[in-house]
Amino acid sequence: MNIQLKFSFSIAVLLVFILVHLLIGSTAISLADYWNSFVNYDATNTNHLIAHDLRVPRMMTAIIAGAGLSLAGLLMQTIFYNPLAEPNILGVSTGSSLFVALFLMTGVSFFTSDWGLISSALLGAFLFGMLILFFARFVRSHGSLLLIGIMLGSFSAAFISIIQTWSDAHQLKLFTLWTMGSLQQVTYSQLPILLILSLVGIVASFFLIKALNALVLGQENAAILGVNSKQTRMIAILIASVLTGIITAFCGPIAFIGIAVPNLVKLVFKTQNHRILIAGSLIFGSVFMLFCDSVVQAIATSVIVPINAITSMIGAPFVIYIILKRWS
Amino acid sequence: MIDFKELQIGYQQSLAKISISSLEKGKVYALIGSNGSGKSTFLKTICGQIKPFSGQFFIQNKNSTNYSRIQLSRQISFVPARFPDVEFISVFDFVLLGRTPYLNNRGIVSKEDVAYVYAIIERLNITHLAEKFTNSLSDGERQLCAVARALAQQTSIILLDEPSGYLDYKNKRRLIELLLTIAQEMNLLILFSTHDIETIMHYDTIELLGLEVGEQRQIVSIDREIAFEHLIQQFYE
Repeated sequence: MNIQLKFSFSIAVLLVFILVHLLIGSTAISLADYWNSFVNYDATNTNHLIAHDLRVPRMMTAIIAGAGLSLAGLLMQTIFYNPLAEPNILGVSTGSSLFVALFLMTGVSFFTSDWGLISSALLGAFLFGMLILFFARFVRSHGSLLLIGIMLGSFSAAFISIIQTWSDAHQLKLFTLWTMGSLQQVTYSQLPILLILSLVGIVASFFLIKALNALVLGQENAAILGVNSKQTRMIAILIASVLTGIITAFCGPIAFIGIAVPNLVKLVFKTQNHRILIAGSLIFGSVFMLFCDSVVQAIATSVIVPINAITSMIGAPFVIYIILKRWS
Repeated sequence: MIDFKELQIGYQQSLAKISISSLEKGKVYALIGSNGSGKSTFLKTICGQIKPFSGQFFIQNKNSTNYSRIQLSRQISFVPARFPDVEFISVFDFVLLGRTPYLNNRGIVSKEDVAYVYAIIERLNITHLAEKFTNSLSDGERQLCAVARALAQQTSIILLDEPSGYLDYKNKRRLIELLLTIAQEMNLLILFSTHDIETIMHYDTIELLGLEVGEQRQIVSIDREIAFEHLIQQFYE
C-alpha cells in the first residue's frame, strides 16, 4: 500500500471513530439530534444539550489531546534519539502535575481559575522539559535518559504527596479529580484556548520538518547538513511542553499515548520523513484517543474509569512489544 | 581552494600544526597518521564542527569564520566514520537528505532536487538499492550511499573520515577509484583519512598527506618516493 492510500485509509478510520465516539454513551443520541442541536438548538431538549454541550466538546477534546500528545511524543523521540521518549516518561507531564499541585493548593484564587491552571501546567512542563534537555547533554545511552526522566517523575510525585498532606479537603479533592484525567471537563468556553494553543504547536512543528529529518541521522550529520541542532531541540522541547502543558492542564496527565502512537506510525508508514510522521501521529493519535474514550463511555454506565487507565492499559503492552522487537 | 594560514587544530590544546599551504580542486588527498593523532579533528575543523585552535584557513579565498552554517554546508560535505544506524530510511530518502541545505524549513523538496538525487544514484550505480532500507545494506553499499549523500549536497569539497575502515579489499579499491573518478569528473576536492597505506600507494594520482608523530606534530605533504619503512617511522612510530 502506498503512502497516499495509507493516509486515505487512516482518515477514513478517523471519521468512523468520530462517529462511534459520538454515538456511544449512556444516552442514545442520533445523528439527527447532533444536526438539530447545531442548526436548531433547543435548550430545553435534553438530547440537544447532551449533543451540543457535552458530546461534541468531548469529541473535539479527544482529537486535540490525542493528536497533541502524540506529536509531543514524536518530537521528543526525534530530538533525544530515543524511541521510548515521551512527555510522561521523561517527566514533562509530571512537571506539569507538580506545578498544578503547587498552585491549586496554595489557596490563591487566581491559580484555581482556568488561566492559573493553564499557566502553572505550561510552566511546569516547560521547566521540566528544559531540565531533561539539560541532562540529555551528559548522557549517551537511551536507558540513562529514561531513568533520569523516571527519577524526575518520582521527585515530583514525592513533592506532590507532601503538598497533599498539607492541603485541606477541598483543595485535595480538586487536585485528585484533576489527576484522574478526563476529556469531559472541557467546556465550550475553554475549547478555543485548548484548540488555539495546540494548533500553534502543531503548525510550528511543520516548520521544523527539515531540521528533524536531518536530526534523525544524529547531531554530527545534522550539523554537516547546515542544521542548528541546539536551536531545533530548544524549539522542539518548547512545542512539546506547550502541547503537553495545555492538554495536561485541561485533561489531567495522560500516559503512554506519546510513546505508542509515533512508534505505531513508524511501523505503518516505514519512513523517517517527518512530514509523514507528524501528519500520521496527528491522525493516529486522534483515533487512539477517540477509541480509548469510547471505551470509557461504553463502560461508564456500570463503572467510571479515568481515561489515563485506558490509555495505559492499551499503551503499556504496546510499549513492551516495541522494547522486545527492538532490543531482544 | 582551501588555503591554510598558520592553522593549528585541537580542542583545549594544539594537536597539530598544518604545514601545507593549500589543497586544490580536482584532486584527491589521503591523510594518514596514527590513531588519535588528530586526523578526524583536522577534518572536523575544516567542515566547521570544531573551531581552529589558532590561525585560520580560507575556503575559496574567504575566511572560514565568515561562512554561515548554511553557506558552509553548501561548500563542504563530510562523511563521518560511522554510518548512522537508523531504521526505516530508504537509500533514496537518505541521499535526498543531502539536499537539506537547499530546502526551506518545512523541508519541501522540488522536482529538481528529486531529479538531482536520481542522477547521483544512477551515477554511482546504486539504482537497484534506492528503495531498500539503509540498515539492510552491506558495509560496501552503505559507503556508496554515504558518498551519494555527500554528492547530493552539491559541494565542491568532500571530506571522508576513514571511508574504507569497514570495507574488504575489493570494496576499498572500488571506493578509492570512485573517489578519483568523481574528483576529476566533477572537479571536486576530496580529502579522506585512512590507515590503508598499502591500498592508496597503488594510485599515483592520490596526493598523500601525513600527520607526523612526536613533540611538534604537523600535517605535511608526503613525497611519493619515500621508502615505506621511512613512512611508517615518520607517521606511526
